[in-house]
Amino acid sequence: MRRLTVARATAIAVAAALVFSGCGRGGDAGTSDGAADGPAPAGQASGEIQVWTAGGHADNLKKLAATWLEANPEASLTVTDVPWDQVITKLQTATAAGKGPDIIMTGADQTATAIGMGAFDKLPGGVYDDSDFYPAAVDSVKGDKDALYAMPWYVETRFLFYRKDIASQLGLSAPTTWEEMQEMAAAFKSRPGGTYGLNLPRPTEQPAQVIVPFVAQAGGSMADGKQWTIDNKEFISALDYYAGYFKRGEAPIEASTDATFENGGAPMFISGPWMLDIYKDQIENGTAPAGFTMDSVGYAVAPKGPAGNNNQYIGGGNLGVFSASKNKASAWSLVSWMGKTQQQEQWYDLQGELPANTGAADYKPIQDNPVTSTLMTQMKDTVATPNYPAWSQVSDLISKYSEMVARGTMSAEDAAKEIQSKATAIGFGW
Amino acid sequence: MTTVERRATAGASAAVSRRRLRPIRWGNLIILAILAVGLAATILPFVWMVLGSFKSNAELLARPITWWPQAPTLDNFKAWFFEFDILRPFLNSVIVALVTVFATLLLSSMVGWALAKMNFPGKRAITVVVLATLFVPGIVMLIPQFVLVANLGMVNTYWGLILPGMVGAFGVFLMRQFMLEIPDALLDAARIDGAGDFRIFFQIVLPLCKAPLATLAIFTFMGSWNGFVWPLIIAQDDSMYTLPVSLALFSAESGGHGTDFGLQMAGSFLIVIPVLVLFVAMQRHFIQGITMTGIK
Amino acid sequence: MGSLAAQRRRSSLNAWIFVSPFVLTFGVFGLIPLVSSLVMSFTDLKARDIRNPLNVDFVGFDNFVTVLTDETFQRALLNTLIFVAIGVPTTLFIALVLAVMLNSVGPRLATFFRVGYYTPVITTIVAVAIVWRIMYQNTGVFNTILGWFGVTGPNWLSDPNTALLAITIMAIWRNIGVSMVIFLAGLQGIPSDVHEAAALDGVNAAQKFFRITIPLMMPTILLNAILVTTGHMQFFDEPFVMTEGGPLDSTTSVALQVYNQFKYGNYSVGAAGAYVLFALIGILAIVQFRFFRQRT
Repeated sequence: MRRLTVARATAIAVAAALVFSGCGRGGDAGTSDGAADGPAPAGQASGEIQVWTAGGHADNLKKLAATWLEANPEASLTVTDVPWDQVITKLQTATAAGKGPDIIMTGADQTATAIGMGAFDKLPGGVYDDSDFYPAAVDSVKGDKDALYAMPWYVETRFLFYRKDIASQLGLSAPTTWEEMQEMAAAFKSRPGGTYGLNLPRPTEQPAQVIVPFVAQAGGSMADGKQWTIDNKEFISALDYYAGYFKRGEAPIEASTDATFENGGAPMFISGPWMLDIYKDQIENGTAPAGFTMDSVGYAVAPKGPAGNNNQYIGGGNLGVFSASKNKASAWSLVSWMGKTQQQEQWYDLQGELPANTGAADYKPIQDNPVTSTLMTQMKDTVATPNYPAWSQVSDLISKYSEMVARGTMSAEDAAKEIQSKATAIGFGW
Repeated sequence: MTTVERRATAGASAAVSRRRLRPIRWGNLIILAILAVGLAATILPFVWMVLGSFKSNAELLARPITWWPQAPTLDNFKAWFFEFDILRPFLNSVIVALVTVFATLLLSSMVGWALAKMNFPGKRAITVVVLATLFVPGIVMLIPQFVLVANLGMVNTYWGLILPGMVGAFGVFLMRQFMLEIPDALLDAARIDGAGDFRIFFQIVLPLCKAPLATLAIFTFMGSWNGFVWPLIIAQDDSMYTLPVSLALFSAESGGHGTDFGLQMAGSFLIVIPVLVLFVAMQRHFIQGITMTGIK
Repeated sequence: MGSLAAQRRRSSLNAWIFVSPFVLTFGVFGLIPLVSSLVMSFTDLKARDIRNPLNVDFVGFDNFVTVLTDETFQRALLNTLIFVAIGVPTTLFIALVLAVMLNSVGPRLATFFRVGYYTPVITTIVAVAIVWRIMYQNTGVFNTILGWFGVTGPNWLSDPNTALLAITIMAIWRNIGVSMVIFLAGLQGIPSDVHEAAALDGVNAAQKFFRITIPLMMPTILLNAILVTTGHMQFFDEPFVMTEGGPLDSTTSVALQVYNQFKYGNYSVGAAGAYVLFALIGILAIVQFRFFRQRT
């Protein structure tokens, strides 16, 4: 009796689901190809424009856009900020619902995923000239077959931090090659009172963010436009170089350690300029260890690899127009305005982020600031995150296998083979 | 003979009372000591959270860690109340939680009642299907539930936030178990007095159910109040955000790079307060409610 | 006779009025998503289809094959089962002992401890994660205590051999509160004359616990075991915030793998994984039910 009821209930439910779900991949669903209207002419934007920014960009965007709103009296603006790690979830749901904002900001490494799910419209003509922008930044807004879908808004890159005071005691200066960086790490670790040589993103902390640049510095790249290219000597040497620091005990592989940059336990790492603000805060609050001052902090462009370049990871934020937006012309008009040299310079003043438009690269306040001028030097040598929707999945594979190599349970050669075969099976995800 | 007997019983009762008093007192002390040590270990993260809400982010990031705030500050709370408008998400959370709790109590007790004491075609099927969903992992439902809510045009509305939270099988199970224990004689008496099904339910059954309703209210309130993933997906802008969503968003966005842990501790503390108050106020009924559901 | 049939009809009509609000909501927001995710697990639905979820192909059992042959998923399955095998009995045992102890102290103290032991349940996982990560550090609380006994503790969370154990301990700590409250309720249902009789018979505390309390509590233990097992099978929060499944997949879980598939946009594969989990939970519940029924 009971079994019968369950069976009947299941049958009804399945029948209902079949009706509900429909069948068959009829034709190419694809991303929206309707090369939409271009931006509204200056001053003629209208209606409410909703923007989703990511990672704390809402307040300054409102300030930036004030002049644009004056010039476009018919338009109004609502800005909502989303944390970085929620951007893709929010986009998935907005896209599925066909209901969301007009302009969406995505991180450089999230844009391909957003394009892949159809969140963005193709870029219409007249928004920006991609030859004015950093090529690696433009790479990050390309979809399948190199079509453009968004505009790079700002860029960021990483450089090398090291304890200048400790280095000078050891008679060392900023390393310029892989070998010198390795020597410095060994010297830091073996000095009296030393614990580690440096901090690298551990295998659980998205190590691809340093491995991809290492691959570029070794002269390789992650994909050739047709498939993933991982099982090769460049990737293997990058992975060996990365894992070597852990194997030699120069970089901590433990999840938690009391060795920090501030107390000299891990006196070197690769990261972005925001670390300087954190140190400043700690010193002002009196929570930094005794003897740690801003003079202890040294920074420099990244060391060069065997291929003779020091390409660093390029990140940043991109702006696209939501495929279900009802106010596309006005939205593109605002995006286009934000990409102009003057606004790019103003954005640096407001938020301290570097312009994606190379026309603003020589802006005096940027060049006068030693930190940003170092960053701008580094900006000339960058490598983009592979811009494919499946990248996050491949990146997780790299995390997994780099951990085995770093713990010495697998060779870099075998890891490269494993990652290659799995990544090939996954594909690019378009 | 009687004296001996009396003496013997006196001695026995003295032995009994000695056995009862001394070991129990020692035992009690040991029990209390164990409970106290366990309690200390248990509330440590809670205490850390409260203390952390008075620390700056820099202090929370500094190593070695500090327990007592070195430079106590109210900045985190000020930020919540002044920089960030906490009132709107607070009201949203209150509306969502109250409606969800009220609707869950009403719907669960109605269906629990019918399943416990009424006979009708389809009863067994409903019982089996609803109880089977007790074992469904929540993540199974997420995407299709969202597609459905999106197609119903309920994204960024209170309906979208509330309705999917009302289908929990646990409440039905709890109410049904409790109502099975209500004596039929009571109902028959009411029926003889001419009371219909609805009057019996609202005037006799519901008042008997205070304890399980309190239990269900606390569980449902906690679930709704702390819910994060669903409101994050459904609420598209800050007019619809609930407290946990705002907490995550605001403490992540300040600074842009990395989370402000001080803000997060203060926010977590603020969020916990209503749940804590509710639990302390209702915990007697809460436990009684579980006791009386025949779960024994 | 006709009036009896009419009465029965009216009574089932009333019953349906009682159940229909829940059944309708449940049907729309529970059953439809549940079944469509089952259907989804037999298709090739991916992120790119999110705007046209009906526009997909059926692929038979491919997704289930993908999931079950994936070595990471197999590892996740093993981890989840180890977690359940260690976590569930330990949680139940500690919760039961605590409940018995709490039941023997005065009502004021009991209230105090009860609230205290419940705080892990209502403290946000964010605060919990920060504190536990610090406690598990090389020089953290655990290793300091182990050091008193001359034991050099491992680096709990980053050693693949101890990470799962560390996460399990933390989950036990988080889950004791709920089980304890349910046990307390069960204990209050034991008539007090049973204890008095036992005391007169000179039964010591351990004997009382194993010979009287546990047998009388079997139904509560069954309920608790099924609830805790169902919760533990969906093991997600702890590895998600503490280790993201590492090191070397030693703490990854089935629910975490399902979540990752959703994150990558492989919805259909995620749905298949979720249904594998659902099936396992159902099987375990049935096994437990049989086991306990034999014992009572």
